[in-house]
Amino acid sequence: METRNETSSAGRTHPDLDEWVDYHHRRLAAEHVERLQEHLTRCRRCTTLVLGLQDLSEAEYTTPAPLEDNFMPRLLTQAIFSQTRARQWRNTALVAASLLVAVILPVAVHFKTLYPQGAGGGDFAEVNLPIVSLLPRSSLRGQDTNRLEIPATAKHFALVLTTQDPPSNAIYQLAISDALGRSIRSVTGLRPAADGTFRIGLPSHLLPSGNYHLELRTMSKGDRTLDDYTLEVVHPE
Amino acid sequence: MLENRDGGVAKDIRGAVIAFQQGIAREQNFEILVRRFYRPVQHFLGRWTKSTEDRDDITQEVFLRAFKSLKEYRGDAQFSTWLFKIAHNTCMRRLDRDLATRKAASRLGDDDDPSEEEVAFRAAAFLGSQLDDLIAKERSALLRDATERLPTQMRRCVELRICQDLSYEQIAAVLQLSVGTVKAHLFHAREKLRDHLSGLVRRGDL
Repeated sequence: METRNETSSAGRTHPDLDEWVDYHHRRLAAEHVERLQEHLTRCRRCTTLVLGLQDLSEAEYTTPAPLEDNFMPRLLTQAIFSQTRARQWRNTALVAASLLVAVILPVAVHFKTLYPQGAGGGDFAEVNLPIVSLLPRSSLRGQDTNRLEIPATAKHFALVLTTQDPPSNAIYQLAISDALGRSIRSVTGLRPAADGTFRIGLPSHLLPSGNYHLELRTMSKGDRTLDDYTLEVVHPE
Repeated sequence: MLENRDGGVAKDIRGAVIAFQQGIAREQNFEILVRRFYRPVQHFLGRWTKSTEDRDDITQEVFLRAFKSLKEYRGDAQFSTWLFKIAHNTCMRRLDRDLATRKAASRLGDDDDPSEEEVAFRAAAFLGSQLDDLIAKERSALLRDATERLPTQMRRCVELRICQDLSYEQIAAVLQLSVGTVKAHLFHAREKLRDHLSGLVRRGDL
């Protein structure tokens, strides 16, 4: 079989990844195997690849390990927002095209494309993740509060926190407490997204129906509070 | 390919992939895949990254990419191989980017001339280590010559053990041998090398 090579950033030549996959699945001729094994004895980088392939392959037959509590919500939140960004770019292009083609419809098209399903993210039903955008308490009027309805089938939900003042590049922390002031969860290591909002995914069981208080603060510069929020959570009866 | 695996585990993976692709409970089905492959992916990435923060960050990125492209997975390769390629490519991209950043930073650092004190300190450290280096080089040259005389597969086991510090199990996985064969190779290699290099091989080198 022909040898396919790739060059690492250090300028060294290594067999390419597909070749190692074939090696792992024992699909190569003996002579080719000899050459690759000789390379392995001298190359820590490729040895690491072969061991990684082996580990992942074995994982198909072993018992799954427990996950960190926050991993799936964080992943799904990221997935949703990257989908949303892609959709918004596509929609913006559609708006531009519509403006060119039919000047008479720009407002309707603009509205429909930027907010395709209205509040609650109905378009995200494919991963069943309710999202709520939270406004700081200082910008809510009177008795207004942020409200989140979590369907029975949703295992996680996502919060998008907007702030009164633009956040800095510092690392932030979100402290969640219930109506009696008892601490529910503290989420650390938060950074603002490109649009200045904070996006957090959490498991649905974390917040039963009730009222909650959320406080967003910096983890440096003397623990300064950036904004606080009220949130009413409603699960179906 | 996946349906040929024994037991129910591989069927679970296949079922989760198909259900995800059909849009059925995508979140839960993807979680089945994440639970199974999270640790080995994290372990693999840990071998390339310096901090656990970087490792976890890239792990998250790998599964995000997998989530986005799972629709296109056709099952012509084992799922673990498909995921491994995503992990590898994501990791290499990140390492290349980090390397470029480090190079840019070191270019900036080169502009600073070391002080006279620093130059003197470096020279003293260099001279002091030269003798040690010489002895170490001589020892390793002798060891290398003796290792070269071993039968091929035995030599490879020794090199992976000494140069890359791999365990018996890892050597077995890399060379596609049984652990018993690796142990036997290393046992006989130790005997042969002892004959060639009496007094030069320290206990625990192999």
